[in-house]
Amino acid sequence: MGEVILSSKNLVKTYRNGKDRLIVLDGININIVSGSINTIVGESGSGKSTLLNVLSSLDSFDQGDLVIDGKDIKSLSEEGLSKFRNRTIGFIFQFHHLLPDFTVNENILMPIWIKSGYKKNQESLNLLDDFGLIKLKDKYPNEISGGERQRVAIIRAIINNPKIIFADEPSGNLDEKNSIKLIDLFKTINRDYGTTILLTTHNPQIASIGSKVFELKSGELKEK
Amino acid sequence: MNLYYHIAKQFFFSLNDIGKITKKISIIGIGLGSFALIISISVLNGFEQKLDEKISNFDGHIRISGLEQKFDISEIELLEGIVSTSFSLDRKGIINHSSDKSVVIFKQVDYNKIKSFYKVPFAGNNPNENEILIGNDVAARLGIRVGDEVIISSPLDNGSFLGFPPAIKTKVSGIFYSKILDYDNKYIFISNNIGKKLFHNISNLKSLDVKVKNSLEIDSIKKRLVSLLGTGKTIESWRDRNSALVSAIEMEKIGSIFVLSLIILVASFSMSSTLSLITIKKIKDIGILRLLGMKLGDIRKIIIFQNLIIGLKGLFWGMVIGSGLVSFQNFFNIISLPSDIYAMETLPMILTSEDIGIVFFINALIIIIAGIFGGKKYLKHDPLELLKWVK
Repeated sequence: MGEVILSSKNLVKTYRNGKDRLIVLDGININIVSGSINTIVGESGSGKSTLLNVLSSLDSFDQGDLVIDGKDIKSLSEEGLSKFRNRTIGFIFQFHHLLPDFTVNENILMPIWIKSGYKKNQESLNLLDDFGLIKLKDKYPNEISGGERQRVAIIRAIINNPKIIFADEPSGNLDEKNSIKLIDLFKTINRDYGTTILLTTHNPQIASIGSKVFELKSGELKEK
Repeated sequence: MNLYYHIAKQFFFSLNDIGKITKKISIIGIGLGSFALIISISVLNGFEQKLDEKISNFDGHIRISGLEQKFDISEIELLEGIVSTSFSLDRKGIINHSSDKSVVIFKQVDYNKIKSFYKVPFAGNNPNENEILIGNDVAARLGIRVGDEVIISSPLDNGSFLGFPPAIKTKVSGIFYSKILDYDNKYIFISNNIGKKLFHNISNLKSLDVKVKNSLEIDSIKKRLVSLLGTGKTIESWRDRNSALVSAIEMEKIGSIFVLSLIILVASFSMSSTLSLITIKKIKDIGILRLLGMKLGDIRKIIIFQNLIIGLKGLFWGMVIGSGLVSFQNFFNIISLPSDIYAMETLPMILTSEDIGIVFFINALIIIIAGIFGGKKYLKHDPLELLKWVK
């Protein structure tokens, strides 16, 4: 069994609604082992995205502890958190979130540029070639299909060799054929790069790729 | 290329029509402000240079008073930057013509230098040792014409044991017109010969007028003169002797730079609104960049680069067109002036690298400040909020 890369203890997240407080995450405890694929399922509105955003350091929490790759997230400054996200975490969303004014190659290179400055880099072309998308390198996001955009977003997420990838409903906007391609891609990334993957989904087929499947219900997380 | 510049440049591509128009308005505004600053500064410089020329042709750039009679002026003439020197003496006196009298200032000079040092234009003939040159306004006031005889006297000196001031009948050989009111209205050039006859009470008379090669070096030459001559001498530049006028010119310069900078300031508001438009339009992209690990400070750099792209384009064109007009005027003298009012035929324009530096600095400062404030309020949100932003 590998080491724990993500660990949360009693994470609580609430939203204020007038005078009331709505508890969305109620004492979340989770340990994610390095190199594993983990899925979180739950009904629509159960708080899967909120959980993923909190666990990936994108959203704040009210109580509890969160440690990713040995770093206590609460202790990081804005600058430290940005640097941490750039080097340790990869993000994939339901919507591809590619930058429309940049080519596919530039979109993939952006995390490297943020990390080490604006210079030529062969890495993105190698990855595009590995994943059979090299012909898209000079195209803009609006010139490629939805499935291609999502795969480009995944390549961008792994370009900096992150320790962990967070994927929020990655197949939400894809048809079945593209969803299957996406599952294969996650498996390939996990196998070839040893990247830990934590994803949320309501698609049972995608959920099944996880070595651990968690269910979020009424703000509580349980392993299935 | 810099990453922030690259992103800033790319963000302009997807501007909509309104964004493109406000961007163009910003560029034109900055350009107009820079152009106006360049022209205004160069015109003020030009007038200052003309003033320098005119006054130095009358009094020299520097005047040294209190020299001993035996002083060897070749020591001064050998100093670097000094072109020529001339002894002179200014003394109050009276001129009589017909029944009219006027208080004037006699300027006693060596007539051999009347054309080489004192390059004051005059109508009439070169004066001989017994003749005088009078100012245009003095001549007009007393109705004097070239060739007329006048009586000049020096009440500050004793001419006889009865106390009458020395007086000489002399001929007006010419009438000068420096187009500087104080000079044309008060001064009369007299020769050393006439001076000797008029000024009995002065033994060691004179001041030394000094002309320098480059009027921008007056202050450094003054310092060299002080170290050469030591204490006990008065060394004044024309600027020292006309400090009120020089201060007025400086104030005018500062005033016009300030007022014209307001054009750039107003243009910067338009620039800020363009930036806000771009920031709102690109808020999701900024969220993506933050998600990928870009720091807030780096996002600010992108916005400052966007401002620099707009501002420097305007600044470049404003400066190119402004400097071009200054050069064109200096070559072809296309803008003329009524010479009876301005004492010059064409509009003088001088632009130095220092002025270009000032215009660049003012613009850059306003552009960067506008960049810091433009779009600032949209950036305080965290990446997730930016990604969910509804336009």
